[in-house]
Order: sequence, then C-alpha cells, then structure tokens
Amino acid sequence: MSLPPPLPPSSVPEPDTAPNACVNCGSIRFSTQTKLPVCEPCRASLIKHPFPFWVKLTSATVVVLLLSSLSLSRERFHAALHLATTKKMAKQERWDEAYENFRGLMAVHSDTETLLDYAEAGFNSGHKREAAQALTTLSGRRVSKDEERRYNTLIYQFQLEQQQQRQPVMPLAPVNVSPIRLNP
Amino acid sequence: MFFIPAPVISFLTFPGVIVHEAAHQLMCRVTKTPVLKVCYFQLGNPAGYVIHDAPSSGWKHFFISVAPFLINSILGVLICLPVALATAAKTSVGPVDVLLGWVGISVAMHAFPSTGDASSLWGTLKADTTPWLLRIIGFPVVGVIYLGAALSMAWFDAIYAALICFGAPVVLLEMLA
Repeated sequence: MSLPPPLPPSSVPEPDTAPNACVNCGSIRFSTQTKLPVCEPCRASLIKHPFPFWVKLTSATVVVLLLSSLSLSRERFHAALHLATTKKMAKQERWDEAYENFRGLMAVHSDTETLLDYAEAGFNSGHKREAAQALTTLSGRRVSKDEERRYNTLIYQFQLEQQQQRQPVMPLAPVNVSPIRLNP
Repeated sequence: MFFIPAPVISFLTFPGVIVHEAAHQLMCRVTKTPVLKVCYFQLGNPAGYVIHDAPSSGWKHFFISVAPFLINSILGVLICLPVALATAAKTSVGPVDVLLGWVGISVAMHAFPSTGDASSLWGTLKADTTPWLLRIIGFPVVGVIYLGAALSMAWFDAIYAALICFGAPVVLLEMLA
C-alpha cells in the first residue's frame, strides 16, 4: 500500500502553527521542490530513505531463492517441454512419433494419465503388447471419470480387435475395468 | 465462502507483503520521491504501507502505485517456476520445491495494489495537470485495482497467484510444444 501525504505523526505540522523551520534539522531554508516542511538536504535524505538491514537480508534471500529457482527451472523445462511435445503428437494422432517419445518417458513417468497416453499411442501405432502391458499396470489405481472412460475405450478397442481377428493379441483377462476404482 | 481473517493470510504470506512495500519504496527512490515512513509488515490492516511525498508528476505516481503489481508478479512466477514445471512434467517435488512454491505464491498473492494505492492514484488522475495518456491508462488500472480488491473476498488474490504461477508456464509450454 502506497500512501501520499499526510505526513507521519512525528513530522505532521500543527494545523494552526505552520512550521517556520525544517521539521527534521531546524534549518530555516525550506526546499522549493516539495510542500513538506523540510529543507533541501533533508528532502534529499528522504529520497534515499534507507532500507533496514533485515529488509536487505530478506531481499538477498529472495535473490538466492530466485537464482536457485532459475537453476532448477533450466533442468525441468526440457523435461516438461518434452512431455508437452509428446502429448501434442498424440493429440495430433502422430502415433509412431508419440509412441517412441512416450517409451522414453516411461522410465521417469508412472502417473495414470501418461500411462494411458502411452497405451493409446502404443495401440494406435501397432505396439499392442506394450499397450496392453501398460494397461495392466493401471489395475487397482484410483482414477478420474475421464481416465476411466479412456481406459474403457482402450479395453473396448482391444476386445473389438480380438473379436475381429478371433485370435487374442494378448491375454486380456487381467486387464479389466473392475479393478479400477473411482475417486470417492 | 471460506473466510480466513486478513491478518492470518498476511502472516502466512508475509514475504509477499515485504516485497510489495519494498517495491513501492524502490520505485519512490527511482522516481526521486521522498519517503517519510515505511512499514514492511504488521499484523493489522493494512499489513504494510509506505508514506511518501506527493510525486512530482502523475506518471511517477502511477509507477509508484503499480510497481508491486509488476515486481511481485514477475518475482512470484520466476520463484514458483520449477514447481510449476515439475507439476507439468509430472515429476516428484522435494522440500526445496515446497519452499519455493510457498514463497512464490506468497509474493504473487500480494501483487495487486491496495485500495489505498488506487484512491491516491485516483486523486492524481483527476488533477487538471494530468496528461490524457496517463488518464486513459490510469483510470482502467484504478478500476481493475478496485475490482481486484472487491473480489479478494472471493480469494481473487490467491486465484490470480495460482493462475500466473501455475497456469502461465503450462500455457507457455503448450505454445512451445
């Protein structure tokens, strides 16, 4: 919050007795550049109002945090961008590229959404066994409505394909909707 | 509406209050405006304040008023950036991230100028000597500040902090991907 005058209590002039000297040092020469009852040297010193030591210390801490933040961000930015790029590939149905990228990401990502992305990319790029394996790892997890829908769609696609080929691509029994629990 | 008394919020997010007042004071120094008194933090209302002389121009007053908005927003986003990126990359976060997240959100939460800032800026904007360009820019800014203050009852400051600290990096990643 930044406030214009009134002046702080210590330097507020009495309403009926206008000061005839600088309220800070007693000089009789008032500054012409301010309406404050202060002389020019005192006005200059008010411009350079000091930052207390603890504020300087706090500022230094903030600067250290900022530098460590920038250092950490540099490493994480590439990982985040890689994941975002891969997800975009999947969105654009560039399945082969998306699958290859997701395969590399699986070493560090085990969250449900990325596993589903990986399974989708695997299924659509012809890597069905890998996709099915990814789906089996989801058993027993708590998932959102949307994740459940995506999971069920993939299972349905697997079952549809099995019916068409009359030959299972992989044993589907362990991959079932039932082990997936919804969020309460 | 979930209500927490302002002093409690100020206490929990005190780094933001200190940065906010320091930003006002810093801009006073840049614009060569005499500063009479600074309170960087207190458990009261307001949580902090800077009492300064009337700036010599409307533009100076404008920049003194909006300095915390710029400084707190930029600092908050940058300090919180690794946490936002870890969230976007779905990687685990450690104790350092918790610290950075708390400081970043605290700083960004106090980015919005107060109604005190708005009312003093309003007074300057109404003056006959104020340039038209400053009025065109300044009046909507004052309106936004008042709106932000009114919406702070609905956690607008926290929502703003979350949006700029976590939403902006995600949008940036989407654009770059």
